[in-house]
Amino acid sequence: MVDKSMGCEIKEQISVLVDGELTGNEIKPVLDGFDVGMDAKDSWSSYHTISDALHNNLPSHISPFLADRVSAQLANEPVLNQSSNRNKLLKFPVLFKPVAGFALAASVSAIAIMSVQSVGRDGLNSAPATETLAVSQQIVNYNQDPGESGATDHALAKEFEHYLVDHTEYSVAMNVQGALPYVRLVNHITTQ
Amino acid sequence: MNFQLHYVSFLLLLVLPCFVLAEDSDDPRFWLERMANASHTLNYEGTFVYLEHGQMQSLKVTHGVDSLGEWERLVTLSGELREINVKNGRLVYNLPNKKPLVVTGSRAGFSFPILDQSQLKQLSNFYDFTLQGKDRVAGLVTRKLSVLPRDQYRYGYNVWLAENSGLLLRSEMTIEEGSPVEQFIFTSISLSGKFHNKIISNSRANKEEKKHHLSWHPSTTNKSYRWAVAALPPGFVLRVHRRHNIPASNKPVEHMVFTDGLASVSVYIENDNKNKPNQSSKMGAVSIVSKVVDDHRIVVVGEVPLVTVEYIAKSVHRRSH
Repeated sequence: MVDKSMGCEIKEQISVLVDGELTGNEIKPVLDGFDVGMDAKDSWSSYHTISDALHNNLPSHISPFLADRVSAQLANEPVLNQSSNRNKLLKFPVLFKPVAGFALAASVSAIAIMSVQSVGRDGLNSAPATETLAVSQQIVNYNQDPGESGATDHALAKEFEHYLVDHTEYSVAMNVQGALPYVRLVNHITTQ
Repeated sequence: MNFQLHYVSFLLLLVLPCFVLAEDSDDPRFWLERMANASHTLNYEGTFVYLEHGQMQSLKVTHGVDSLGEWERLVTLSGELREINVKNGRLVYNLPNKKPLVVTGSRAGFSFPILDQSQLKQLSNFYDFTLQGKDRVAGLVTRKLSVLPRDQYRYGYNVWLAENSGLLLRSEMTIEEGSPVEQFIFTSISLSGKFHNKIISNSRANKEEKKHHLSWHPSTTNKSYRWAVAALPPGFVLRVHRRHNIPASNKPVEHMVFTDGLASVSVYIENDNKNKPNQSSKMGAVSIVSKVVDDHRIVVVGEVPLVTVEYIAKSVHRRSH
């Protein structure tokens, strides 16, 4: 329990560091936290990604509206009752904004990734409708015989995943792009 | 001692210009060859963002080379944990609460020679290569290389290669209009030191597995094969023709692999139509066509535009004996 709370604290500090809001004396303990384990390093990378999304620094094609969606989510977040929370705000003037921001941004990010993984996952298909609508479907069925119009993306993904697994072996072997074919596998294959 | 110092200095003088030349080369094919080698020969660990179809995923990759060959671990950093481990020809794909898919006989990275000069020359017939200058990715100086297709049958690429190692740090696969259909970008990368190979120990060895073994045969014109493709887009050649069972489903298929040197397309012929409909689909950069010919199901799949798999699928036919 203690370890967990310490981990959370380090992650919070990392999120503040990514936003450039730590001063000289505050930076050293955070950097020392990187020695704790890979979690801290992963958090560093994840928060940078989220930070890039918030600051519109991700490649343009990711989704031109991602930053807007993150900002909108932040704006729609219930406003804290300032009188009842005044003490907390005064206690954590530096931490509050980024921590809240990253908590929310992380959830948006997670939903996007859940959507990526939603094909073939009934449990995850129940992701919030507003967010699942905001991302495009993973499988685009361009042309089907009329008699099979009931076929779902889920079914299509399952139907072709065995071929994709097999083809990936050759794709990796011939492709000069390193791990990319395996990344496609991670994204598309559900393994019944 | 003095002699040794001079000798070492002399050697350094001989070797240093090579490094300088490597980073300063303006030959795009040199960088492409360097990229191909780097992705298979370097030890590296990094996190990257993968974007496809407007969707984003963050992942971590660890790649190493030891006396037994290449190994690689790829794991999702957010959402549901998914993991792919490749080592010694064994690919293990782990999903939570699912049976791991194990593919043995995997030849990832080893089955075909990395691009040689003649292949690179051949590629110039179908792609235009241009060096676009320098940029920074994950804090490292990179060289940007554009690979533009000369026809509609293949995707284009923009790649950013680490200047000092040639490692691919950012990639965009683009369609005709130049808009990306798939891209990834490293947010952090470490090339120093040896990374621990946790691959097999981390896989859930006790869990029931779905096993599949790949058998590899060289390309052949063996007449015992029953199917052929009559017409291919320019530059695509047959590299593999074999019979085997598809992973997990264990369906027997006749399988052909065609490549232009950068992109690859597989054609599967399965003796099982079950009134399957004709379909064409896209999964990000991957296009798939499925159709029925002579009571056999034909599936064509590859990292190429839909028009390419449709073109190939049209001319799949049974050989006349």
